[in-house]
Amino acid sequence: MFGLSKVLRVGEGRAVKRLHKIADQVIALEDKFANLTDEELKAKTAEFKERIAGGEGLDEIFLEAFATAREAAWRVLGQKHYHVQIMGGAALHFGNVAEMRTGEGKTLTCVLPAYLNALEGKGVHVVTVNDYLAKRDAEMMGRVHRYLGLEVGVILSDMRPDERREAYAADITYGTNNELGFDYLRDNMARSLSDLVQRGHNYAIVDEVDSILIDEARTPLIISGPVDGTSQFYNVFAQIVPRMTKDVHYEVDERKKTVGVKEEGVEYVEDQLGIDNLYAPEHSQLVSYLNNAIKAQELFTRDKDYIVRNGEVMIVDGFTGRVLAGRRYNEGMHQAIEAKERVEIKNENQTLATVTLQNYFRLYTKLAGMTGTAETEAAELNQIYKLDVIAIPTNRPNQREDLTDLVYKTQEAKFAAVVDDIAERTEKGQPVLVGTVSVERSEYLSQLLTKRGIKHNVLNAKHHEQEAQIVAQAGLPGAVTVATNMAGRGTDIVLGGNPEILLDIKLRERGLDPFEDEESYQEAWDAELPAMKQRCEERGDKVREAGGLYVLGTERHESRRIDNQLRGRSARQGDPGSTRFYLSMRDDLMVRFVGPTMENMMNRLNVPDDVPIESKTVTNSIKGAQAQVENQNFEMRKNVLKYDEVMNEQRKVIYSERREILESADISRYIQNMIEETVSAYVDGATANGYVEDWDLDKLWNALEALYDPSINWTDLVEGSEYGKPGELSAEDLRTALVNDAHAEYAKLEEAVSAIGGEAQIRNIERMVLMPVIDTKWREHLYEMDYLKEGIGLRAMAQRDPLVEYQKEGGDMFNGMKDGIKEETVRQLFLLRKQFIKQDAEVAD
Amino acid sequence: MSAIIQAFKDADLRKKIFFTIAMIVLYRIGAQIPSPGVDYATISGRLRDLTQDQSSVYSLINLFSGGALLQLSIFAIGIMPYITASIIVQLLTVVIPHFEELKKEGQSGQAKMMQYTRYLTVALALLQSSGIVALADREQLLGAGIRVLSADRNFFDLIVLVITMTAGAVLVMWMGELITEKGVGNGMSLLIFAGIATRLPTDGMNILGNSGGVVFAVVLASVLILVIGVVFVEQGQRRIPVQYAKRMVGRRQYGGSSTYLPLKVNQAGVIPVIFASSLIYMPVLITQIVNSGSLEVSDNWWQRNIIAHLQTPSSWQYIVLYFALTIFFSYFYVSVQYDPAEQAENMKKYGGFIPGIRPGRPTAEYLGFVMNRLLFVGSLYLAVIAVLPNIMLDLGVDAGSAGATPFGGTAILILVSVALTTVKQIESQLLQSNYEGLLK
Repeated sequence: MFGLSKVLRVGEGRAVKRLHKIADQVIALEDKFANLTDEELKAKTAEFKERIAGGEGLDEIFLEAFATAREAAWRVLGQKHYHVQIMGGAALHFGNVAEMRTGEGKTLTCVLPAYLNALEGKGVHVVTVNDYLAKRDAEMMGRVHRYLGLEVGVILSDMRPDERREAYAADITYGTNNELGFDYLRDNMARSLSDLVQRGHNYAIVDEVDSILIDEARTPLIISGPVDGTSQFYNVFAQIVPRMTKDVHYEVDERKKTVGVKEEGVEYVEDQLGIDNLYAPEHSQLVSYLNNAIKAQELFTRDKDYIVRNGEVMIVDGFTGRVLAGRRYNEGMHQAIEAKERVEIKNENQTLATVTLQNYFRLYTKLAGMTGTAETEAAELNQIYKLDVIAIPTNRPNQREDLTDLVYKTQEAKFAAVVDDIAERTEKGQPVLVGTVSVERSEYLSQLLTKRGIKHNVLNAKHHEQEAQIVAQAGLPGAVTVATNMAGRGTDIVLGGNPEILLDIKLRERGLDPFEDEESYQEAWDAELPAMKQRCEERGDKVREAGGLYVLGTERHESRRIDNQLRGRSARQGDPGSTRFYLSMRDDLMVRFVGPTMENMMNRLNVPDDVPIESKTVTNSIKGAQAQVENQNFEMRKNVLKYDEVMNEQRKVIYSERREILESADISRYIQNMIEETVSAYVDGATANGYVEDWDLDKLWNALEALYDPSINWTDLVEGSEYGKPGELSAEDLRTALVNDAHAEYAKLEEAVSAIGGEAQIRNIERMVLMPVIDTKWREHLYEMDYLKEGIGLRAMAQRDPLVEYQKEGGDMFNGMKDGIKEETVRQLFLLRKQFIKQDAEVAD
Repeated sequence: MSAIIQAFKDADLRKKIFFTIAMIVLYRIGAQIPSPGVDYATISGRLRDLTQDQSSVYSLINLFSGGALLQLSIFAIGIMPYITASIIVQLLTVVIPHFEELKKEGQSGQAKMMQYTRYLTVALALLQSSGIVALADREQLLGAGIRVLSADRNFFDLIVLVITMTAGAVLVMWMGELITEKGVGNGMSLLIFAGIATRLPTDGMNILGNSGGVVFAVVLASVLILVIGVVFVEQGQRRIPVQYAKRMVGRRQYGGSSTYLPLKVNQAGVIPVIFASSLIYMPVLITQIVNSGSLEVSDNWWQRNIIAHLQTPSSWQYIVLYFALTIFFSYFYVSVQYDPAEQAENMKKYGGFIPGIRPGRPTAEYLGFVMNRLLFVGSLYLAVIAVLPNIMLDLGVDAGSAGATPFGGTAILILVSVALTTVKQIESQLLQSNYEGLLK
């Protein structure tokens, strides 16, 4: 892996050199653009658009557009892109991953490529990790774009479809990856063209691209709908399971996140439920309730994997530490947790549509990304997404000092030492950011700090509303911020406080809104910014003297990238800063990978609980453990991707055809085909073997009657007709006869409908019938594929490659689904015909 | 046929197929290039009028290497060390706890085991090439007293020979892995396939020439019947339904009969045959090396009653022993490699169960029961297939290529199963890149 990533970086030097040159050229234009009046600068947008319409490519207006946006940012925000930010912007424009350290101004950087690419008018999506950032960036950076005459939209989770449509129609749209992905899925469930909100996927700049394409790669976005009726069994098992004992009644594999019921457990459950055999076919559904209840008990921890708020169980993302609002675990897992927590059990869900984030972002014609930590995953980004990582140099040299890890025997001793360290640092006036692994741990530490009388803020999934305020103040002298992984991404802790955000908060408190009263907001902003900057600057100097931001990690994460993220909060933009991790032998990662040997050694050496060891061996063995987990996860992702590829091909086919149906006014030719194919398939099935005397034509006619009412009789056909001599009916003739008959019957239906509602009516009915049929069948197909995947591993037993088997059977199932759609559509359309006949008969009576 | 045309129309697949073919061609070319210091003229002359008895000891290896072994080409030992190493590492997962853990660890563990297999391959290749070169040096390889190496060889030349062959084996291993990675099918199997298949024409001609037209026709007819039989049995599966807990959504049941545990009739594949023949040739090889000091074959009890039979594949003693050993190793290998208890444990972990049967021990017992019954038939089948060429020899069919012929059962078993899996893989790939929509 290491060797590969080195090879991949060989071409990088040249790319970086090219970017340097571009940045120089843009800066050279500075004076020329500074001399323009506001009106002249604003007119540039129209000029560029005209030039594009005249056939010029983006690369030809590239430098001027960058210079325009740079000058505009200076006039509106008072910030001018540094040399390295222009480099980053260019890297993004060329569709690369720009690796920029925290605090290098990624948000400002992406103004340049966003402006340039928006000039084409095909839309630019800027993807952020959360709603707050989307909103903030759309407002702050949006001011630059709006100044230049471009429209900026933002997608937030609580927006209505019409608001979303408007936002997507804008030149530049800010939004979170989840919202964009969900909108894509919803668009592909839309029943009419007017329900669509997105308008194509042209260019996306993804912030924290490693998090989205790598960490989130394992969990797909799922839109699900409730299924009627929940079961009382969730409560039944939620009562039984706590009375069972781990390792006696059931066993748990923490690493693979699986549980297994032992025989004693099976007997106990059977006894409790009063049944003979839990695994008898009639009871088989109970098994899933039991498994889920055990998993809820053992593998899902409150305030770590989920939190309970207002009687609702909400999932906490393990990588970002944020609440995943509205997302629910699948397959009854969420209900089992609800039963465990004794809150109301909501209806079960069924997957309606699903896509992984990677496959969503692969839709874009051009994709670019920014992150602080892509280096370790350069190989993966290149292998899977064909994205090159370009490391953008920092504006000022980095001064961060990473202190060696301190390892304690117990967690208690570790946290005691952590509190001591925090007390000491704050006394010196140094701000401290403490990283914890879970909501529960952050609260535990918060209690300890309160006991010691240390003032602090807590930033976790439970308090995410105040995130902006907490982060903006985290750089003040002596501030202590206890955070979960949430503090890892997108948070820029400015020493002395962030003047822009503090000012923004202050102006909002006064009731000014940048969208509604744009002018008065801008006026107040211009008036107060210098003073605010001044204050923050003074406090910042004080902090710098005290040693800058001190980042303290209380546990290692599975992935080194997450640790690096946390460390990266410190020492931004050439500031001083230091970081240190406090570990204990009882930490999850240590227990799982380093094992008891180290602890035994510490015991043998009689190391007291409160004395840490500070050794390279321990640090290295932890690094080894992390590398092992990372590697495992990479393999897992690759594997998931291989299987997902199968689904993705099918999804592309169904979605594009669905869109075609939605967009075409007349789908009758497809319907005609469907009639022909369905009837042919029926005939082929019945005439596969032998000759006319061997066929069971009675059965065929019965089947056909369920599909449509044939107006011809098989006895007539056999006795001779235009289709052949008596007794010599061939399969070919039979097929032609029936297909013609079905077409004729359908023509009668068309006629009858047209007589009532005109020509357009039947075309509408066709669409109204076909769309829901596609959706229902596709949904069922999704589930069947999922189930197939579950059991496909068993095929290895017959020395078959499970992936090959999955492709093959998945393909067969897809074809089956297609036939099912055709058949069901034809059947439903002819139902209407039957209705008409019945009506006619009634009228005649 | 249309599938083949379609396969070549698909750009990605076409590239893969051409890559595979190119690799196989390279492999065959290498198998023809004589190693340095080999007296090529003597060898090719000698190979022509060699009787089966003298070289039967290497018959299976020679078969697997596509005849390269006895020609002492640079790929003389070819794929064999790799096969042996894979089997050994597989078996070690039962004996050594560390290996067992690696196996359970999933992908990263597999990668590590792969690495061990490669190291072991190098070691085995050194061992095997040294053995062959030692025999050749003592003029025992193609019958006693036949000089196959150049006359003015010195010790250094022998070292070069050993290193050449070892490097050849490693190269072949790499080619096999490249095919698996970038081509179609499993590289190791395809290389064996290629080796066997290239000998079909020559050996067919030999039978025609040595035994006459009638025998040739009979052989062809029986091979055809054999192929049909092998295809039939190889496709045979007992499908044990397995249900997963997640089958329920709300009140609806999903999932048809598509999840099952397939148990093959011939679960062990061709490996028991390799074991059996290796075990038979071991004492012969040792005796030969021990005896090689003297040109005279010593006439003692051991030589008369054991080695004489073991050296004569057409003798009934040999056939019975081979038959019995194949059955034994079928049971042994299946019980080691497909442990029902482990399978039951895995199913339990992922929430799968056989309807009506409790997970854990009862499931393991049930699987064991079914497997044993299948094995009885399966091992008999395998044993019959294995001894077929020997019976053919006994009946006087002479393919001229020393024991195992590509017309024999083992070879056909390999040819058929490799062809089946490779075609299946191509098919599924085709399907994957050619989804047809609903609307046409």
